Amino acid sequence: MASVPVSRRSVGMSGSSRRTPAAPWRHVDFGLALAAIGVSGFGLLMIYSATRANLLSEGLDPGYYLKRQAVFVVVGVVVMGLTMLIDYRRLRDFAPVFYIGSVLALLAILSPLGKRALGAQAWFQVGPYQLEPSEFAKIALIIGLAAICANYKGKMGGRELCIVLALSAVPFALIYKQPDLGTALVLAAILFGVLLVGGVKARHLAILMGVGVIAVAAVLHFGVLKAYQRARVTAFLDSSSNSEATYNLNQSKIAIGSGGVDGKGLFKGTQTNLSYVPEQQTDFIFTAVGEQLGLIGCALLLSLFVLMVWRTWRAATTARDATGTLICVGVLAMFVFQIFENVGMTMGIMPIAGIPLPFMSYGGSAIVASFAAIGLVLNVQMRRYS
Amino acid sequence: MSTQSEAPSAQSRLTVLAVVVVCLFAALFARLWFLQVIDAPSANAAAQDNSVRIVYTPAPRGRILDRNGNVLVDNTVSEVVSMTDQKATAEPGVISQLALVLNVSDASLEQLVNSKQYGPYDPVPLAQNVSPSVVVYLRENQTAFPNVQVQAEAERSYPYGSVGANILGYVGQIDSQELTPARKRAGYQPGDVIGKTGVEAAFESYLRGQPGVTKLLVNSKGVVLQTLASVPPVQGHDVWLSIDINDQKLAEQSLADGLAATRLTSDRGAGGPGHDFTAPGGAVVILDPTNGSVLALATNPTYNPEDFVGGISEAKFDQYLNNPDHPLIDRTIQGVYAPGSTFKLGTAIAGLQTGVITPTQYFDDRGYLQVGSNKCNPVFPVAGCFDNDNHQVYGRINLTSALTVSSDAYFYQIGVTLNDEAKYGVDGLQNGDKEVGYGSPTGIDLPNEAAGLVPDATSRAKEYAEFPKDFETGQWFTGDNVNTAVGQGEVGVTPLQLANAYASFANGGTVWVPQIALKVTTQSGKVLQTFAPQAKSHYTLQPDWRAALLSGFEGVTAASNGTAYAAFSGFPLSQYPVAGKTGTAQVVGKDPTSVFASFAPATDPQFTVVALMEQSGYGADAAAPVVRRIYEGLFNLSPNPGQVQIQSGGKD
Repeated sequence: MASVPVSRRSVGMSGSSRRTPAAPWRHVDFGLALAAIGVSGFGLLMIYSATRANLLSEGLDPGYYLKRQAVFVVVGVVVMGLTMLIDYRRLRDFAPVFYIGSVLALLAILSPLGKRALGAQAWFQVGPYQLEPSEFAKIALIIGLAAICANYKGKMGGRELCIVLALSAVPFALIYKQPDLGTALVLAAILFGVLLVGGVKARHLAILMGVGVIAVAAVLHFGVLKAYQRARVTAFLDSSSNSEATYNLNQSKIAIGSGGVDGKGLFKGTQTNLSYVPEQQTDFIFTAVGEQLGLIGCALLLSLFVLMVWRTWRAATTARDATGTLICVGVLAMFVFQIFENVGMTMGIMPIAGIPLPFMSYGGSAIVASFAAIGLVLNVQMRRYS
Repeated sequence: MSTQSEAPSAQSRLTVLAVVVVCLFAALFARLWFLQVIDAPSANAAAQDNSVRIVYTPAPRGRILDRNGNVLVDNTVSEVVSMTDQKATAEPGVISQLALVLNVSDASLEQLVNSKQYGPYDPVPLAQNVSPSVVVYLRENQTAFPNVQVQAEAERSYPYGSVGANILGYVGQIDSQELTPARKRAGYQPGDVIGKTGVEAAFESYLRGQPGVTKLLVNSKGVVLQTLASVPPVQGHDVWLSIDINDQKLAEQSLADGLAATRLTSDRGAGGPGHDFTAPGGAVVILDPTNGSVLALATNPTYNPEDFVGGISEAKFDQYLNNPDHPLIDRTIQGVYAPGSTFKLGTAIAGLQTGVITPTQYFDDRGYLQVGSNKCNPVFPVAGCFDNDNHQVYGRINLTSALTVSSDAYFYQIGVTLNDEAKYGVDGLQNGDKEVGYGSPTGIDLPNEAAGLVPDATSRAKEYAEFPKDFETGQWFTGDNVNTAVGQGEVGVTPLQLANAYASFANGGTVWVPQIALKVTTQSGKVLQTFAPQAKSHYTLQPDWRAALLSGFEGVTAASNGTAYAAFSGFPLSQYPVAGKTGTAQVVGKDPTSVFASFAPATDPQFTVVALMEQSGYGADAAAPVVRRIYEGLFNLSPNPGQVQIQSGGKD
């Protein structure tokens, strides 16, 4: 990164940086960093508990997923540190590079280079690991939207809004095409958050939301979605239907509900140990918390998330400039949407969409991207005085 | 940067964002509270339901033995392949692989798997009696067949084949009607085996045993991970019958041979058109007259109980149901027949008890009896005239000789006299018939016994109200009483009722409840319950009445003018005197029913034997020879009883 030539420099910024070189590191929000690392550790334990019995029954190493996820977390923490190193204003200057890079990567995924699995084409195979560009596209979009909206200085007319929408639509369409509806919706949430705080007119926001509602209704009604997508989206509305999605949802609710207040105890959940909940180490990891650790464990986890969101919000309010604020807002919107959608889905109040729970769900790209996002927030936060 | 004007706006927008975020998290906490506090009990139950599977292992049924301990119904072990979860194994790969292993076609297996008969989680039996190599293969490759299980199940086996099938009954899967709330409380599950007929049904509660209950921990793929609790099944108790399997075989064989021989005989001698008798079926009953225990109940045709093992095919069952000769009907207790002259025992009892006849009184038999004003003619039928068979004229006869020669006129007279309501009350004749057990079930411990009918004015009125087209009027005439007196008209009895009536006479007037079961023992041999003989009723039988009747019945076989004299010629009657009565019941449009009711030795009755053969002619010709052969067997007169010697052109 450091070797990349810098095209444009903010004189004032680099000047202050040179005056007190150690200053930003005195303002690092260790609470936020520790919360993220803490949740990841919690996630490791839950992934182990959710996969151990099944792996054992198949004669495999019960720590298989645990070990891989541990590697991802370590990589994630390193990436978080690296993200903090480079001043976010310098990163902002590279926003077009990140944006174009992520769009190219998403295009490549749809080409024969991408790996096809479970009906979706979403990643590159890199040795024993899969790289999911859509996860990193979220980060690229956050930086890009923050950069462009900050540039409008709170004055967003129709023309500006259209440019922002057009720029967001490209990665949205590419990810939707994979198809990965869930991640596409995360992009929409990021866009919504940045627009809300970035100064879009209330009138425009209302129109956008109206269009969104109509679009969702139209998509459901005119069968643009594939049958399984539709079943997943509507399963939470109709618990009596017989689709696989309804079965998954019921098992998920049973797992969480049967945990009760204090849970069944670690490694003692029947739903978890007997693999009644599908995709439990990834999208349904929250059910492992709910069944084994009960309301107490779930509340602790959600509290850690609240802490992270609160620190991110604080970073947004105290950021030195609009770019910093909007980066934090983008990250906040991303996390809040993912947490709400994912946890809400496992409890039957949100449609089923393949969105990972940040820092908890098994998956390298998601973990690394989440740590990168926290790195961005820390980056903005530590440089609020410089 | 115009921070002054922008800052408050950005700040307020951030506040809006914060409110939205707080709302979303509040929603999550609220939902969490609902699921984990309010809804926790039902979720807990659902989680239990999910992972704990209760498997009932049917207990092997108890055995059924004859009075000497010969095992009539036993169990064999059959390896049954079944599928525990229809939904999960609907993958075509598993089906076709399993079809290959079981050596059946994909289509037929698929049809079984998708059978609507079973609930989505009930095990569906796919193959019975699987070879050991298939069992081993399936057990070793359990993961390839995730929901397929192999279980040893006890199946019924019948060491004597179809002998006594009508008594023993068959078993089958419980159906929705049989699965009553009471049975559900007793632990019956859909798919359980239950006794459907005969002893299997009547003694179900003893034979069934205690099903084993196993609680299994099962993962989402249906793989059993752990047994949480297991109570093994306990085999049912053994039921010992009063049946003697040798007597049963003797009765069935004699009946079958008799029917076969009759089918080779022309019906011209019995007044038929000259075809061979069709003799489609019949029944034999052997009772111990001293206590009512049943030694044999033979019915013909019958069925093979092995056809029902492991579930009878619909085609096979239909074949049994649609057979015009009704092989599934036990004629001994479910067949209702006009008994003909064998009914005269009841008429005689009625006559003696009312004083209409005495043993010493004589009667002038002119070959007919005139009822009403029409002058009777010995040759041409005249309305109101009731003839003896073949217009035989017996002259001066008493009760004894009337029975020996089977005079109808003598008994017509009793019917006429007893129809006088003013003098003998309502049902003067019928009361006597009912005293010997006709008109109501004997109470034998077998299911679906028929009651039969002793017709009278009340039953006639009732039937007329129900089927007005079948009768000219609903009135009861003297002629009806006359027909009833000789076991014709609407009189209906089962072969068991007939045998029980003669048994009551043989023992001096006690009507026993015929008993098929002697005792119930546990598998360790402990006697759990014994069934003592049970007297149903007792009627007055003065010594002189009994003597007169007895010598009449003895004369039937021993006297040269006895109706069954020819059938018993050569039989050592001096050693084993046989008291009997022939009966030839007229059936409209068909050859008569041939009946013989008897007991022996007449002096010290040990056996009551009744044979009844449909469309087989005279009682003396078909039924009496069958009974004779049975006595030969019962008294060990010849180690290999010869052919049944069917008579011809015989007597009523």
